[in-house]
Amino acid sequence: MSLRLEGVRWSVAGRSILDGVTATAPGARLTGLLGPNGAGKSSLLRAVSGVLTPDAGAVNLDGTDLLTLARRERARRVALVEQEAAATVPLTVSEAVLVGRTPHASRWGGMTADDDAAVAAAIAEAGVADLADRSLATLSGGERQRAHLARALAQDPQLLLLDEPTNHLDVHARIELLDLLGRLTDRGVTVVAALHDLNLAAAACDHVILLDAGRVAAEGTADQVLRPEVLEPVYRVRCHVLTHPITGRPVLTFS
Amino acid sequence: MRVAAQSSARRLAGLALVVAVSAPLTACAGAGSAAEPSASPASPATTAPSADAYPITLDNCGFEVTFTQAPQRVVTIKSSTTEMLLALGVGDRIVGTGFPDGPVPPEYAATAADLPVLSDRVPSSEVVLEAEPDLVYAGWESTLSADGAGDRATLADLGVATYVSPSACKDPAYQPARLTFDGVFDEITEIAGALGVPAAAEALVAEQRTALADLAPDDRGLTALWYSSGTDIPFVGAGIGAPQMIMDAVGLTNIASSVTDTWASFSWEQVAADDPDVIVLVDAAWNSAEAKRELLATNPATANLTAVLNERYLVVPFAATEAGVRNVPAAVDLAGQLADLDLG
Amino acid sequence: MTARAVRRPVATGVLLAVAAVLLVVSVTVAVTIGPADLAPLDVWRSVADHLATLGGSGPAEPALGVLRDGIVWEIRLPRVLTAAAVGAGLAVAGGVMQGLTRNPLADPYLLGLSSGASLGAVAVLVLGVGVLLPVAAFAGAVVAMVAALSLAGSLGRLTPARTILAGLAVAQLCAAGTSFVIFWSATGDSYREILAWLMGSLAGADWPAVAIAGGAVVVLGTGLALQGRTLDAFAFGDTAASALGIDVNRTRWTMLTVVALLTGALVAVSGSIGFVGLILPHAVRLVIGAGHRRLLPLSALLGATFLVWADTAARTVFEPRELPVGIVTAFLGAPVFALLLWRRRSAAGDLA
Repeated sequence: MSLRLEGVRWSVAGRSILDGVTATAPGARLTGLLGPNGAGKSSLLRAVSGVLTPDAGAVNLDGTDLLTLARRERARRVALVEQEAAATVPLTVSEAVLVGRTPHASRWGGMTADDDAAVAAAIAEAGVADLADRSLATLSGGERQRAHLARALAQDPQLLLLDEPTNHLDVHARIELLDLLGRLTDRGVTVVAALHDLNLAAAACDHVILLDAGRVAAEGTADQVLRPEVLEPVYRVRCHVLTHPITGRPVLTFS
Repeated sequence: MRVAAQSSARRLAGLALVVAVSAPLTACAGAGSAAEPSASPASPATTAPSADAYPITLDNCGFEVTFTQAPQRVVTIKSSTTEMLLALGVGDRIVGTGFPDGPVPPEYAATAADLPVLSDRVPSSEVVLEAEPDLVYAGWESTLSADGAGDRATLADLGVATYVSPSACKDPAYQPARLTFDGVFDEITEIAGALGVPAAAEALVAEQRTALADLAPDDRGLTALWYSSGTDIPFVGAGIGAPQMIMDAVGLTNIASSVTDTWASFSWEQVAADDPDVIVLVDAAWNSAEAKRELLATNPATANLTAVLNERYLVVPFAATEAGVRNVPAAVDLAGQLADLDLG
Repeated sequence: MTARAVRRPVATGVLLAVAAVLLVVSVTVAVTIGPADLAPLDVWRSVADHLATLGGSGPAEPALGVLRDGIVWEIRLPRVLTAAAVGAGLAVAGGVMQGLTRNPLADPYLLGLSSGASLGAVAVLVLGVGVLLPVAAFAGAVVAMVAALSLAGSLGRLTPARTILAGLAVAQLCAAGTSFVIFWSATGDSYREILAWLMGSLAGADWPAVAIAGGAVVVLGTGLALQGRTLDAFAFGDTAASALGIDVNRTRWTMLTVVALLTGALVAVSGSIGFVGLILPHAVRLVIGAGHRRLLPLSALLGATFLVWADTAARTVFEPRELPVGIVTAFLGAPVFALLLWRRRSAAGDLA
């Protein structure tokens, strides 16, 4: 279930946002999408999820061209959790999770047994069972992020896209979220997360794609990409790489 | 914030529209508001002043008006005021008319034909002043406003007297409980005094009193609906205005007499429940008696009314239903129509 | 977990059943109330006789007499049923509009519909344009809708903000046109008829009105009420809805058009009755939450009940005089709306 991007281009009002992105997110792995502000991370996730249509290029998931799929068909395979996803949605968590079943529902349909089962499973997997009847608006940032994740899981996706999922989360909530993403990849879901925090990427990602001005500046394992000579021209900072004393993963410091 | 602002703007627009509509509406109600000058606390003397009685000071709807001499250039607004001057024989003093409700009665037609029409609606104050009047005589108090024919005080400062048909005073102190023919005659007498033609008023009132005395009210105990306008909601002559006064005179029991208003919105259901014996249709240019006749016959809610099934209709011109010189002739005419009705 | 997920639809069913019973009882009782003094049993027997006649077995002569029978069958029943249909339709249309635009102050008239319909109606009332008033009102509403959607669509994707602003522009233009026609041409009595129409009134609702409003609600309103899941998806924003496989632009176009056609049909028979489409969905949300799958059908049933009683008040409180029902709904609706804003003062920073 690997995701393969080939020369994806998208521009708006004459300004090129995605300038020929070619990259691969390996199946059943957590891929970090890195890059400075404006590098095109969110746009790339939107292009993959079908929210925007690229001007050129191909988006393949396990050999299927997502761009030629019908919307609903694509939404059954790809789920997106937006950055700072709507905080004021006045639905309860279980109502919100049911919304994730939209691409599976018939046009006029009500709830089916499949919906019930998928909603229950998603709620359990995201660990929001205690919150099921609470309104989204009353949740903390971490709780809300997990509720949105549950909604995405109810879509039963093969590919899960997350845009800055750890923003506004405290350390505990971040670790919980990464654990959850790890469990998802373990059961075969391909996860691509746009991340600001390079150390988080270094600690958790199996694969890293570094974007700069709509192009892929580097791609590979965290060890391969998160090196000073790769990062410094992109982020324009001085960068040092240490080795984590316990995990052996890279740890970055900046100056 | 943005959301609230846009929506309130939308609401405001709607509100402005309602206000714009309701202002003339009030005027419409005011026009029918019955007044009985002789019953008013500050009512002027009802005896006719002699020609050398100037200056004459009147308390008109609570506004003090002083005439130092008989007005010679009069702007009349609404048919009732135009016809008042014509009936008093001083139609030649009219320098402009506004807001006619319909054609004048045939006996005045020749004179009326030459009168300059300032506007078929309320003329603006500039148009009024251009006619250089020394009196503006209005059938509705609301027409004497800054956005109408001119504010009363402003006109007074310019040396233009104003006079509102007392039956149309909006101030409750000047708006008595029920319009009577005596009230109508008082207005004739008062304005004739101000115009310096008290004798004409005496003759006119005497003639109308005689006509009224000769009028034999119908004694068949008939009930009636005075149907002025309205389709979904009928607008009818109610308990205290000219319609009630005229129906009393001709011996009809108004089914809407319990409503304390001149005209009022009524309900078809109540009409059907009361099933009036006859229906008085008001004939106006914008809402003809014929149109109402057709509506009554085709509306399933009214098609089975006794009066509709048997076509027991009386017709009265709109201009005769506002307090003025045409009330008595209208009553006489209606009595004649009523007498001609064969109730089988 | 599964137990909870299963229990919810049952609760929804119970709520809907209670609301449906409430509506039936309201219609049954409201039809016995009116300026004419008719005994409830006589009223029901009259209705039953007519229903039997429709089935081919009724009495030849109405037991109540032609006139009193006419009060029931030609005046009250069509009026009560029209009130129910209009109330249901406005509440659904309002709930859908609020969901589609994510704007708590949206109502069925958002696309300038009431202003367009008013212009059409006023043209008939004042200028005597030679078409039936409902036809002119509906035509005005549709023209306003087409103008608003064309304007919004010409700006790019049909976003909530564009929809609202384009509707505002069209509404202002139509309102100016209406004001102009009234100011320029209205005479005497027509002011009051116009005012009654602008406020919204169910007086004069007859069987064709029942057919128009009821037909529109059954066909279009039911279709909308079943779009709860889609509208729930819209609650998460256009991006999320799109990622859920919804063609956001086309869906919004379609639903706005259906709402406009439904509202146009309702406005054509009743004028622009205010507050039902704005308040009812909010009131229902306060009680059962914002999930559209429950909100829309429940709003329809409660909106119908609300308008049946509001109109009963309009025709009886000052009997034998009548009030336009829009005045009653505004009197009831405005305080509720104020209370709503007050209750949301802390939660809704975007409204502050």
